[in-house]
Amino acid sequence: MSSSGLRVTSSSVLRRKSIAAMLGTGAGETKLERTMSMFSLMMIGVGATIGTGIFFVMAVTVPEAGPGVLLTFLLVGLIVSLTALCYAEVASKIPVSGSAYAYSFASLGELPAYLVGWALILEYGVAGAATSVGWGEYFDSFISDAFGLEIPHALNAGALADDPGIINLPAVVLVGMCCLLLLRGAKESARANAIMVMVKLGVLAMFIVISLTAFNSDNLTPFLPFGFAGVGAAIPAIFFTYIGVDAVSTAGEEVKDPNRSLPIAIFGAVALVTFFYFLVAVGALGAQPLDRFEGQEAGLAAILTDITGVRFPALVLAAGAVISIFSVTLITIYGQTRILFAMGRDGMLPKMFKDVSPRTLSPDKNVLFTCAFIAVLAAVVPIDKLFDLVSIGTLAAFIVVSATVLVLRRDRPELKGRGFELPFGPVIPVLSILACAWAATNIAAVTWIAVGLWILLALALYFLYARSHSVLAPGNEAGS
Amino acid sequence: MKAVIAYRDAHDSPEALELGAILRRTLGCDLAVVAVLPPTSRDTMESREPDAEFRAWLDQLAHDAEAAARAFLDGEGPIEFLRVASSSVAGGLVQAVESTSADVLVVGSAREAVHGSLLAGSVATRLLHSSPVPLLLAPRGYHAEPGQRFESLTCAYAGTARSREALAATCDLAKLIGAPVWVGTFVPRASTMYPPEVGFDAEDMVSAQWMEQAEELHRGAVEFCRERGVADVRTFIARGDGWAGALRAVNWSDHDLMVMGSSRLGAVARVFVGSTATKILRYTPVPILVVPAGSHSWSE
Repeated sequence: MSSSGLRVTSSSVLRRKSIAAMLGTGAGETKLERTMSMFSLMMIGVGATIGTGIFFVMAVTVPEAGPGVLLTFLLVGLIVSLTALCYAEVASKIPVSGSAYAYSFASLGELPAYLVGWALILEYGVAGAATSVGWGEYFDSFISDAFGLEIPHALNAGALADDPGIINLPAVVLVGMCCLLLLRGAKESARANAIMVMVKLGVLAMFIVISLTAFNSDNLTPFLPFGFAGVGAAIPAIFFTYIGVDAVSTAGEEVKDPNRSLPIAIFGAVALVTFFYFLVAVGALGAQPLDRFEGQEAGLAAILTDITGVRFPALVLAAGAVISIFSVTLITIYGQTRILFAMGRDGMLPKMFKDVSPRTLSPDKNVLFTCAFIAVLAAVVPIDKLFDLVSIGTLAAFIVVSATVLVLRRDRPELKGRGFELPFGPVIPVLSILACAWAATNIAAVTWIAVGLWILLALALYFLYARSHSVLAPGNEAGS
Repeated sequence: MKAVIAYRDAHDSPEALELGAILRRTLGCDLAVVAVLPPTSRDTMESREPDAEFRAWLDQLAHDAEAAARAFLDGEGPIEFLRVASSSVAGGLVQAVESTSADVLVVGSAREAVHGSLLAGSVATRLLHSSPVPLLLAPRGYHAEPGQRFESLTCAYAGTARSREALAATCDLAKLIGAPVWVGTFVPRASTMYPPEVGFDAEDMVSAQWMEQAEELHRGAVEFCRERGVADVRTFIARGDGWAGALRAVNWSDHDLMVMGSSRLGAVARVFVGSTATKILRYTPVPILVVPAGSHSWSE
């Protein structure tokens, strides 16, 4: 192993990519000068986060934690802010695309980066499947309220669900639609994103207002029916609702006066998101007794129908959810394709992941493969199992990025003073690592076994393929 | 060699006529100006009164178009003027191309196009994918200097079967006029996806990859041109923000002609397949020769 981070030791599994080389291959002369206000940065964070999970987590988390789920939201919001701060320091020192994968390739080395890449498949790919399944629930609710149509259960639930069907068709259709858009090179613009944020906040605000009219404090007692263990058990699914908050950090290099603006934007985004989630949770918990949550599909819409006795509010909410979860799924799948693309360019994955089609000028094969993988997951696996996988992947990436702060400070002192830096020395990254590690202990054993197998597969493929095909392997071009 | 120029309204901006003039200077080809006008009762039955006013107006239109075309082009040599009666302009033009055995069809940009940009109108759009001969177009308001010729050919190349066909056409044309061939690939950086979960620069990575692939493709393309007898082959990669930026990145001259392929697509495929050809057309600042698959047959 090399003792100096500057040198690329090509025989080691910890060989690293030089930051200068990464900037050379990533950015070009077309890079635009952007100056973003703190407020727009905060809105990016809110837009990326809200909508990934809040529409469907209550049905999974309330049976685990009871009203104590409110504490889980606060707890996870705190953990996520710590990690987002760590992301911000790393992103401003290694300003390249590819998220945690790229950061760890520059700091920790090739094998850790490869494993982080596989963890990110859990964060993005599996999250795409989970949001598709959740979208399916709201789609069902929407067409049932709007047209009185019901999709048969066999075509509406995965084969691995507790009440198994054959295939979750709506979810597969959604992935297919996203696939078509991505093949055509569609991108959600800043303006479309702003509209989506408004749609999401609008329907959630409507839910909060209506649900609070039916607030009954009896529903909140006992507050901790399963004790603090319940609060912990709900962590994985709640974590899912905060995915995307790292978007603030990746956009951090664009902001004016990052040392001041970044932490405010991060805390602002997390605080705003947590505030909204908290109110939604209070509204939902106050509106119906605990035992109603279990297995409730398209939960927020169902609650509105129960409270008001008419279909209209639920219809509006379901319509908003259908539109905004579509956009969330598109963004998530897009992120997955670009992470695989970055890995393909580094030689870690076969060439098909980086090939750009001359017809569409987008990585078509990559998009097709990614969407096929996500569609299969969405077709058979139920949403609660997907949450756990996503949380493990996300927590792994969070821990690695937090550790990267420490590694960069130790190995790359020359980067000091460049971009954003966390105050209080190593306190924040260490706290972040500990908090994420603790959060991970709440994930069910069966999920750990699945993830263990996933990592074994990754390791096997690393030694069989990636190690010798990597751009840093002896004889391959690039490197330092 | 013969060119058919679509021109039927003296009030149209004269891009098509300008292009015809340059083509004649460059290649010494014959020109036939064609006005496709709707058929009237005269074309279908014996003279009937109700149609007389409409017919008179059409006759005036054709007369004015002919006068304008002759005024514009006759100075450098005689032209032929044809009036074709057809309810479809594209169909009428194809008919004229076939009856005159023309080798190239020259059309203008749509009238709605902004000055300096090329908007393929309903006629040009149909011809792009179905014309039996290559199609020459210019941006709206294109104006040539006196005596201007095409002296440099640029093939928009992406390594597909259709761009290889366009490259073959470029080589054949280059040999006819003794011009150098540029093999150019456009690298439009796609817009950023919001919210940027994997960073603002994700699309830079994709365009960097396409640049590397383009360099690889150019090696084969240069080889291809040499085999086809063109010695003076140069290459460029033009990268910019979006198609507009990529086309702007090239240092064009007044004597440039771009050549590009176009696939034969059905009506449905045209809607669903985002055609790069239409993007290049939209932003090209120089005249462009579109070669629909299987349409070019001119060699010496």
